[in-house]
Amino acid sequence: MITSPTQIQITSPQKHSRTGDGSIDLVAATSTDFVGLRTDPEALPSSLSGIKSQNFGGAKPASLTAEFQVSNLNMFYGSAQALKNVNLEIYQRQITAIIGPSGCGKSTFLRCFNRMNELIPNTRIEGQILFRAQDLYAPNVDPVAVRKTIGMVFQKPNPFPKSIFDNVAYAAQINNIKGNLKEIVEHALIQAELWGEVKDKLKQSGLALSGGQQQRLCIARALAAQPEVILMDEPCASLDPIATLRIEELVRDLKKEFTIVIVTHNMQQAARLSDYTAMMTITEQEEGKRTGTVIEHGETRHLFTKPRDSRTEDYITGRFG
Amino acid sequence: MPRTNLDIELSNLKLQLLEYGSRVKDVIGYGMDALKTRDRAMAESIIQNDARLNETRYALEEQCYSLLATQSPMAHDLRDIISILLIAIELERIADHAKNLAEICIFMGNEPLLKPLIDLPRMSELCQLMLSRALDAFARGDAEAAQAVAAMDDEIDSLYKQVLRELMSCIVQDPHAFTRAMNLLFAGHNLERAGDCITNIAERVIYAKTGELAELNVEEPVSAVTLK
Repeated sequence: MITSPTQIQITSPQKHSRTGDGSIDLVAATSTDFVGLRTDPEALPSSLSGIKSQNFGGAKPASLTAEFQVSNLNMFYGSAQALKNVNLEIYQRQITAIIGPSGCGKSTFLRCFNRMNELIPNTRIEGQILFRAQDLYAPNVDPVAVRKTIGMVFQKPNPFPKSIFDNVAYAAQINNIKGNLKEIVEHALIQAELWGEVKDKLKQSGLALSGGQQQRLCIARALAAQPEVILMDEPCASLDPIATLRIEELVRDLKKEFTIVIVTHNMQQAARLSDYTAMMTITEQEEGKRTGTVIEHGETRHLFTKPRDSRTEDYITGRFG
Repeated sequence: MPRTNLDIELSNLKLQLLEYGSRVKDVIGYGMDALKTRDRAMAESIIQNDARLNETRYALEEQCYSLLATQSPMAHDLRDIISILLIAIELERIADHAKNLAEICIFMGNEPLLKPLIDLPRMSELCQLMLSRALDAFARGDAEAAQAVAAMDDEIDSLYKQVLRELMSCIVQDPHAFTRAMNLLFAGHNLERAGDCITNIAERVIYAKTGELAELNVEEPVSAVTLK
């Protein structure tokens, strides 16, 4: 029997280790140093001491810890450069929105945070992304462990053609999450604010749910892997306004436990939901090549009322893009 | 890429606000004229006209709410709309202060003025000049000009303090002059408050242009003046 929500005791997600299947020693490669590391700003590698994030909104607030530090990031699809010289800090347990016109590289940038771009042939990056002071792209870091720790939710809800329970359980199983599977599934569904709606029909297909419920199921699936960070690529793009507000409420709740980076085309959503916003735009390079870069980053309330860069002003007031 | 609809509506709104401001500026002058010349008919006309000025303020306010609700304005558009909204409210308050001059005129009836009016008309002229310049600064989006407008309020405050001291001394000399002195003091108080409202307008002009919120004039309490 699945216990009531108050009876559930899930241990801290950071402490789960994975033994792997023999060929990947995730614990040795990543978990002990990569997972669960808390950034001490004072203890950053000396090589980084000279690199200041182009925190266009001003200095990092003293009360916040950097979750990601992106330094001089360049990203290429073959010979085409998609991102140019991106510098940014993402703060722990804050919601950071990435906005910008179509084709400016928002999703490409988001996928850099969990090495999803590597699944596309001929991609490469230059520069550095530190996650809690550890280089995400260091040779000893396993990308699979990165993707477990830094989960992702996509634009279109993509539940597996399986039961609601299996959809969530699968993520826990494939990531070797220890513990009672029923409890893990229930906890993830509670976190995703879907439990109340599906607790009596867990064997029903995930595809039978509404669009908004399917997206929350996908969020539950991401949560079952017990990540530290959740990346969201336009998670409400295919949802109606009610389902959108529901997801936004959920994201706000998840902020208590997770760092969230969300790409959105909906500026009102970015303004409503996020604590910090990064504005990206397309810049013309030599020979007419177009690359994306971050031009402004700061507190959302400032960026949407008095942006510093005229390109941000033009974009958010609807005069550009 | 222009946002035609929003741009047109905002331009219209700005024009309406400037026209409203111009009417309010005139009312300050009419109020002082009525008081100075003891023109009861003019005073009654000012009081009647105030309802129309109030309606204009609500009409402007409603248009601002409508734009906020339907156009999702951001950055300078948002600041412009918020500033128009708050300036409209300040203008309506200024019109109320001008109306109070007319009411004082009626309240005084046929009683002669305690003294010839010199500083009060000067305060009224300064208020009109300040308002005119504040509206001009708004129309041109000129934050520096708005800052200069706020500095003019010091002169109004100083005139008010002078009026206050003078009237206090009249009361001390002749306690029977108390009511007539209070009437003029109330007129001065209304003009002083109008100056403060115009300073608030200047603050909104600066906010619309720069996004910075700051109080421009921090006044010395009147009680501190009277005790000096």
